[in-house]
Amino acid sequence: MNEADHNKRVVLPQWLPFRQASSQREAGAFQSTETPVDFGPAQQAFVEALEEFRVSPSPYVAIELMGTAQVLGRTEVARQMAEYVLTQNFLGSVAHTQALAVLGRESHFPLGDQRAQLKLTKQRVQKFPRDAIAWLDQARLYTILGSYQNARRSVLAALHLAPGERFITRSAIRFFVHFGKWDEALQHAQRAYALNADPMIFGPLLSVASRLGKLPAQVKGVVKGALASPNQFLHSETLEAFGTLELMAGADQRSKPYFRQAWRDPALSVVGHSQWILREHLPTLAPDQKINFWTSKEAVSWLRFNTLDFGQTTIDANEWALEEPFSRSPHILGTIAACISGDFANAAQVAERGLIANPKDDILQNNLAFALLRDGRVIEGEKAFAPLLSRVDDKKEVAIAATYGLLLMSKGQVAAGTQYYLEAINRAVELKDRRNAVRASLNFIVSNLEATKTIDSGLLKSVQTAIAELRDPACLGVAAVLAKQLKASDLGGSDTLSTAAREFAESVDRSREKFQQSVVANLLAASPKPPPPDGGAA
Amino acid sequence: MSDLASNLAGKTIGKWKVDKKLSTSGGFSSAYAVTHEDGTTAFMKATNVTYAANSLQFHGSRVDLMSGLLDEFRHERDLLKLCGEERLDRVVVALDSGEHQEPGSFFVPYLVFEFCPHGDMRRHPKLQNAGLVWRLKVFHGICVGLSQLHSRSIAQGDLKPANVLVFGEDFSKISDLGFSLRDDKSARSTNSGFRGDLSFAPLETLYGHTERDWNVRHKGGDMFMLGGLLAFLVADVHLVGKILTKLPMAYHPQVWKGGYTAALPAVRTATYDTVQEITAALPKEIQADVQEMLLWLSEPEPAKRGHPQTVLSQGGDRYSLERIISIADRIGKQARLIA
Repeated sequence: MNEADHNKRVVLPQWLPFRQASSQREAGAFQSTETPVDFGPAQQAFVEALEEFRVSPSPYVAIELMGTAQVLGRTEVARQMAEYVLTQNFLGSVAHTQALAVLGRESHFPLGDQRAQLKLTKQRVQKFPRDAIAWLDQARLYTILGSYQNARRSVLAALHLAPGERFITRSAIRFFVHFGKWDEALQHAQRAYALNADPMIFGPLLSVASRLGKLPAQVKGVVKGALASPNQFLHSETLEAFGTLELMAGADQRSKPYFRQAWRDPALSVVGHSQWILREHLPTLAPDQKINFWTSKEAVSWLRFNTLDFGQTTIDANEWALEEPFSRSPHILGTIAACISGDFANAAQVAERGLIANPKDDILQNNLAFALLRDGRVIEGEKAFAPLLSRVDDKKEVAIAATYGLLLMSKGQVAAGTQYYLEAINRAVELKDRRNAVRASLNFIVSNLEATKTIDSGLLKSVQTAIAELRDPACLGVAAVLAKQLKASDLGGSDTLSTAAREFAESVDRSREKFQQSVVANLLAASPKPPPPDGGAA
Repeated sequence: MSDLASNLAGKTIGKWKVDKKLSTSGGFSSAYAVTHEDGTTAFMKATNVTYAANSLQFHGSRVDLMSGLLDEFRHERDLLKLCGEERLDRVVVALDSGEHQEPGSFFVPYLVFEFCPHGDMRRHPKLQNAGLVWRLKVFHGICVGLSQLHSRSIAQGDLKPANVLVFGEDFSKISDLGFSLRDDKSARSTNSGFRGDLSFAPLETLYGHTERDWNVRHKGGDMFMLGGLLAFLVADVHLVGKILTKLPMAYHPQVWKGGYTAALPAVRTATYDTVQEITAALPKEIQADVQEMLLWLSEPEPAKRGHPQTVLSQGGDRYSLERIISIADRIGKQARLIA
């Protein structure tokens, strides 16, 4: 088992379907205000027309008034007219559906699965080839289905039709990054920013440029302006990206003012990113921030993981994955949480879903094999592991070697399995990756206990020490599972091993307790509570 | 000063007997049914100068307001005169005009128009029962009327169902040139933005977007409103309102602060949703043609609005309605075959 590489995380916008994205604040936040349009005369004319209608009602005048009321924001009159229109049976079906929409009674047909949705968007772009948003929604569906070339063509069509537009550009950046095309992401971001100097394009542009080490020339001026701007929301991504740049350069102190400013009114991507900064790098900033993490499914999932509630994390990560089905991260987190919860069948399903959009993702492939093997489905597990087999002897691969050890042990080849587990542990040590060394060790002890009903007390002791020092939620989770298994095992009647097991369990309990009292474990609890799902009181 | 323009019923003005008051429009004018000495019935629009003089709510100078009002009257009168001289048969022209004065009152400038017994298109009895053939014939007449105006460099500026009159069975005419403009290089024409009813206005107007080119700004605006009339006639729908129901709230003109260009992709997709829904409800035989017409006319980018073969052509009239008229005629004939 392993997780996404978080060492090079960047602030990236979400890529949601247009309808969903439109309900986010990111859609309508702007710095400048247009010259306001004077609706006064139209309001006056509307009042007169309404009076005339009351004296002499007419269905066609009602249709007009219903539409006019919508243009003028006269919701109540629009509703009254809609009710009237619905009583006039001879009026066309389009008028009736409009009336139903005004009354909020529009019927929504289920969209079906992604393939069914794709069929509809294909028809749509064929019929309306200049609809940039339809092209982009099509690209998203292709991305979810893992079809890069088709998705790319659709993204390029959208960029061509709406160059410099915020939603299209941000989604395109996310698309290219998703497929590892960082240079192309930067190229399109720069082109868009040249046409439209929108801070919400500059934020992701800076993130991508930082990752490539190709900072734009204007970065200092833009960041300075962002820091001074009263519109904190609009500039929050730029500030978060710049703060991260400083942090990655080792300038922790220098990064803090940027994060503080970015977190005053953060965009959704900043909320998602900030939890990582707080967890992994700057927990000292936690008491000062007032971020509402509940707004971001990504943040909730990661922070829940840090509360060591792995069952709920699986549920949260699933919600995150529903929002971003093409993204590997929610699926990786989901498989890890489900495995720690012991729900291996679910973990395998999550990994399989993630692999649809990311068919060549090693981590998801490895996690799928791990989940299947732990679920006792050895043949399926071996099949799932097959694409990784050629990498087993790669000295940089820790998780793959460990899972191969599990595979061999699951097939009864305990000695050979042990050899690969130990090889994985050694590799992690050589790579100075203590976290993965502990995880591989824990998994080895679990596998060995299952296969031989005994344990290596020396290894158990060293893992126990490392867990206390590491304070890693995944390690704590697996350690708790192991502690439970050790308690249930008689360990061949050995008092020495039983004592070691008891000490291990007590130490894990202490480490968990200590971790749960830490700032990072309580970030979610400290965040303002979300409203109840139905919006009303219980 | 008494409010004479609002109280003309029963009086005789020139050769016209004022029968009854029909409506008041914004206080600045009143409408009456009138009868000529020869028995011809007609419609009179009387400008209320007193209302302007007594206006307490007006924040600027009353002199400016009155002057503006009279300027509007003169402008409309002159445009109508021109249309009459040019014999534009699809435009409701003035039968008479003048100034009426009584002691103790401001004078009342008035215009007299041909009377349409059914009122505007929305209240024509055939609208409910006659079906698509009648509706498309009315639309064809509107296209011809607009073409007549455009070819004289006049943009109608307030094209909506209330400004379409149907005479006799199905002879449609465009009425009310009160917000019309002529491309005569005058300051009034050059500087003016959209002046008509915002509820029917081209989408760009709702976002405060103004095109520099007179033709794009005004004739392009007329094209959009013509699309609105087509939508109204074929589907009983208020086009702008319908598009807004398809548009996410963040992009609604009264909410959006990012300018029209930034809103365009969203506006475009909402427009296409609307066109798709409207045409899906039509008989299959005319769906494709109506869809094309609606797409050309309600195109969100004013510079791209109109028939594709004319709008992108260099030189000539980019908003020429000739092809649109021809297609409207063809659709009308198709509709007759399937009726």
